[in-house]
Amino acid sequence: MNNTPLRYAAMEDSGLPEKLIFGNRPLLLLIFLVVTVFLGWQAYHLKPDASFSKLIPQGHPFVQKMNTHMRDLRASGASLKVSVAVQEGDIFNDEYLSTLGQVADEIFYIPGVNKNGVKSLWSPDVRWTMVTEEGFEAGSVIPPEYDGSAASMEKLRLNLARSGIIGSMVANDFKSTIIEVPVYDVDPTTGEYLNYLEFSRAMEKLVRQSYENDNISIHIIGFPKIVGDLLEGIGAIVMFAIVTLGITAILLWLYTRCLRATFVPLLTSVMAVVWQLGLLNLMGYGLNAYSILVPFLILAVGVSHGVQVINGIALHMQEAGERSLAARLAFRSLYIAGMTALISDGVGFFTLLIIDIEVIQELGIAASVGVAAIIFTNLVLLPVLMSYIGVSDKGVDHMKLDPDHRHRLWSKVSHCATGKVAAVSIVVAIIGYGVGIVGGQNLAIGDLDAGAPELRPDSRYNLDNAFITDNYAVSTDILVVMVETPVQACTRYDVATLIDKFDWYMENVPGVQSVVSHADVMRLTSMALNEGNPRWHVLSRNQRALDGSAVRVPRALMNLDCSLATVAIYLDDHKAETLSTVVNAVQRFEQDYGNDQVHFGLAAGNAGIEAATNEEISVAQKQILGLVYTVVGALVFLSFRSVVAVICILVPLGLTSALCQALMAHLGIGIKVATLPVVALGVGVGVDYGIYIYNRLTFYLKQGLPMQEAYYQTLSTTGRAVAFTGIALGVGVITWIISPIKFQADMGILLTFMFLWNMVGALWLLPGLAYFLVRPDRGETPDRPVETGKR
Amino acid sequence: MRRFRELIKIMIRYAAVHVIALFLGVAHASLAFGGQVEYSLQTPGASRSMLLDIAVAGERLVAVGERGHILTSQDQGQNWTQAEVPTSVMLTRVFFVDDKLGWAVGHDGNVLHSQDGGLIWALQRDGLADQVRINEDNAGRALSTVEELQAQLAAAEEDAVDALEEALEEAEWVLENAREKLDMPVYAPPLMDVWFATPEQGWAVGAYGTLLRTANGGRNWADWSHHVGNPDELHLNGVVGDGAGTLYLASEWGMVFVSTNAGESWRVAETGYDGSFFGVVSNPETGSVFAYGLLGTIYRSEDQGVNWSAVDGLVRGSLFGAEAVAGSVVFVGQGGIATLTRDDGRTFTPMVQPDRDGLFGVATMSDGRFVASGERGARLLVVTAAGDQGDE
Repeated sequence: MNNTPLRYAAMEDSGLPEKLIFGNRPLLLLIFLVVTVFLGWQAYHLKPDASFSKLIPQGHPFVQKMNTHMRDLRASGASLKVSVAVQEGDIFNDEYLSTLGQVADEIFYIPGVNKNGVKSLWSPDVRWTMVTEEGFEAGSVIPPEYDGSAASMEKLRLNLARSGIIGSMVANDFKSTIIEVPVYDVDPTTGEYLNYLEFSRAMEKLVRQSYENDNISIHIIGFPKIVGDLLEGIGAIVMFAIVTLGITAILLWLYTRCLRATFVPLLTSVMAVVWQLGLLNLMGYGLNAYSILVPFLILAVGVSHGVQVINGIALHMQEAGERSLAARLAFRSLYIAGMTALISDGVGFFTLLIIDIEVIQELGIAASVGVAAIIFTNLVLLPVLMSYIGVSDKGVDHMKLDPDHRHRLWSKVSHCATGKVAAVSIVVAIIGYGVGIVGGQNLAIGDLDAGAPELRPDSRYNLDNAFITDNYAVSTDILVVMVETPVQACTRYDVATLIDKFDWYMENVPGVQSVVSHADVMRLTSMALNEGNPRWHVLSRNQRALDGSAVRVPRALMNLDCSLATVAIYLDDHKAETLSTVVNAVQRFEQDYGNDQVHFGLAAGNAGIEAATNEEISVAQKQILGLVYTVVGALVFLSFRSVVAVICILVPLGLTSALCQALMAHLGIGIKVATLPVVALGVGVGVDYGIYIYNRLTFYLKQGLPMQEAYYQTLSTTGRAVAFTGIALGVGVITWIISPIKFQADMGILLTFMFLWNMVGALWLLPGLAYFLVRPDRGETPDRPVETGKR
Repeated sequence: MRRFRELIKIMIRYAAVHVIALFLGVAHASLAFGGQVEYSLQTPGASRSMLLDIAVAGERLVAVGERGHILTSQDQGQNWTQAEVPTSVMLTRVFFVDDKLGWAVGHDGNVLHSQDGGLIWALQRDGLADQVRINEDNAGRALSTVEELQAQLAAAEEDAVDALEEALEEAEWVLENAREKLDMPVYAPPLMDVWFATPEQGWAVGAYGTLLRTANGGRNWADWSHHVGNPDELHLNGVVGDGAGTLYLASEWGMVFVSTNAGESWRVAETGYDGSFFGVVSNPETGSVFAYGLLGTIYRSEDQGVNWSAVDGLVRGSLFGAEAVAGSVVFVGQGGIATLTRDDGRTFTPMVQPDRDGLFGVATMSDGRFVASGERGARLLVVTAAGDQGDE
């Protein structure tokens, strides 16, 4: 290897950025210190955040329709179900009932609870009614004269049978009852978002821990609890951060064999994380269950770029012999490639902004901000710090190139750049693409598991959810259709009849358990007003009678000026197939039976939102894939001014993306909010490898080395850093696999795969492609990016 | 392009409907009453929907219910087939006079008729259309009463004037009401029960005192309501006859209307109960008749409806359906209750269906087992008329 040009360049050819940076080192250090302290202080104030609306695709027509009726839909807003279950015996004893009362009282005072809406067996508005010769008899289910006696229990038993709440508020086996707890997403007086974490902890501490014992178990489900548990899971992530840091440090040490070169890049990478978190707070964002993962990525990306710098310094130490010059040379040889790689990362992450779901957008922003921070901390600060500290002799000795001794592994790998192997590689790659595309056909959209798919199937929440769906006749998957009618017409005979027909139509759709609308209530009321005679279980054509039966319709099913009726469709599950079947059925009904007065609008309810999310995601998934490749391809083209570079770098990435889809299908991981960003993250980060390798390879080719030798040199300089990077990134995300949050685990699996496989692709497939496309003997070697445009 | 094709499709469909309508002629006539005949929706879930009544036509079970559902089963209720039915409103009762001829009645005053044991159904009485005629007749009758009274008043002696004036005022009020009805959207009281003595002679009863009579197998239905002394227009919930000229109508306020001359004249029997009867059943073996209703109430008369006494069926839920066969009578009702007597109401065996779904109608199959229809479709009862009861 000829070192003369480099040494020469060190004297004469230092660019402006280099002069600025290395000319003012003390000032630079001061600025970094100040910024870090300030952003650290900001990061300290970063709050966890998980508001409902951010998980929703706000631009989707379903959601917009929901938002236009938000005021009327409030009645069906977020709520919890707290089931108090008894192990021995049943609910008909004073001990159980008084515990239930205490739990309900406790819940009443928890901040965030809509006090007026809390309902338990003890609520006076939980009533039974009975038709008698004199008319109606009615009362609260727990008799007013309740005294805990056997007689009271008998009364309660009788009242329950007449109340129609068995299966909804009382379990089918009479061993538990439910307390309905409506929750304010936004506090109506202060306008503040609910702090789900505090709310969930209050439920755990004041309700579950206080009242659960050998005989009483408490089961809590509902959206606010899911969010709370997610936020709790976010806390667990901090543990992983420590583990990840430890493993990364060990990896760094193994690579450098130098404590200084281990801890300085680690420090600057952690600094990038601190900056990123601080900037998020400064920009007014919180930390949600998705963006919590970004620091891991930033750390890993930071360390991998740090290693490139350390590697460069160690190599240059041989020629420069002095730490300051070595740092300058390393900076000079790396900052363009590094900037390109990091900007590609950032832009890759930024493509996430096109997905109309705020949590994903915030994830994209957080990751982009973090990458920007890395440019400063690891491309600027790290070389400066190293110019003071330097790499130990032992480290230099370990990392230096030994021209007399060819590295065994790298000389084997360098065969990838020979004709035979390259041809085989390309055939294998084509097969790989085939496998990916065929395997990816089975890829499902949406959440595939029952309960809260965000959490693990054996999590407390999902066990509670299973308990409640097993013991009550309630589904937790609800799709709400908003029926828009002319003002004061929602109970008109023709309108109500059409809605009733819709109910029945939908009840016959596979996947639908039951349907509830104001027409149901009106038919029931008509029957009740006619002495419970089922032959009156109808909507009366007599409008006066019909209006009379509408007085008992709850606000959740029709609005005040009777221009909106809501139909709640209870589903078997929230699988994408179920949702699309139901959505299609609603649209078909509208087409076949709708008229210009009555419009069946989709959709609210958790299943409605999920249906919208699925639609958004299936569109966005293709867009993201297209966009991230276009953008990354464009960036690569801009820096190398070569189509060949674009092909050599992107084809291995594409193979990884294709195989990743097959892997998802194989593991039963659907495309959902959580897995959507994986493509962008995987490609965004994965492109680094290709950029570094291609940059080096063409550099050596330009020096006139034959292909295999050029690749061997590439491997022994940048290649080993790339291999290290792949492993470091894999380590950064592999800990997620044990996360209590299911989607983080899914992301961990997929990202680990993508990071490692992208590395393999860059080391194995890229030289194969280069062998056929970049022919040094034909004199078509592209220039180094630094000297683009000049031939 | 796709839009265009859709449009063509719609135009063809539209044209087809109108051409067919023109040929049939009738379709346009019924348009005057709020739309063409709406067929019942064909749905896989119909057999699990609310079925108000069930009957046996030969070997076939026929059940009727909400949304115009009519279902038939050839295999004792294992599998059900939904019939094409020219109405989408509730059918309350079904009655077969023999293996082939049957009638189903329901809301909007509709009467449906089948001549093939329940497979094919035609709308025999369009209740809303008929109601327009009835309302016009009523208005005409009221007008002639007023005119007659006015004429009488003009020619009246001094001492008769006061009484006549009072009668006139009353008649004018009736006329005003009748005319008001003509201006309002037409409402036909729901029919609640149907019973045929022969394939020609039949009766249907309904809400607000509605009594209809046919003498030609339902081709024409005459409004017979005025023949019953029912000034409060109490609902008539059930009708049954003994085949020998005696007819019973179950009503509210504990009343049963009885005719012993095939409906020519009626008298009211006060049973002593003050609640509602939902039906009436006669036991052909003994000639006894049972009126049943609210909260498990059963009243029995052994003398053609002259004297009535309460019997205790040992159930407390409302009873909505009953069936008498081979000397036994079974009643079914709210909350899956059923109660059976084999000794003309002296002793009862009560039982509850385990699922507690309400039972609204009951029939006997050829093998003697009872089959009931109710809240969630039809099911076999765990009791037979002759043999021992099942597991309860």
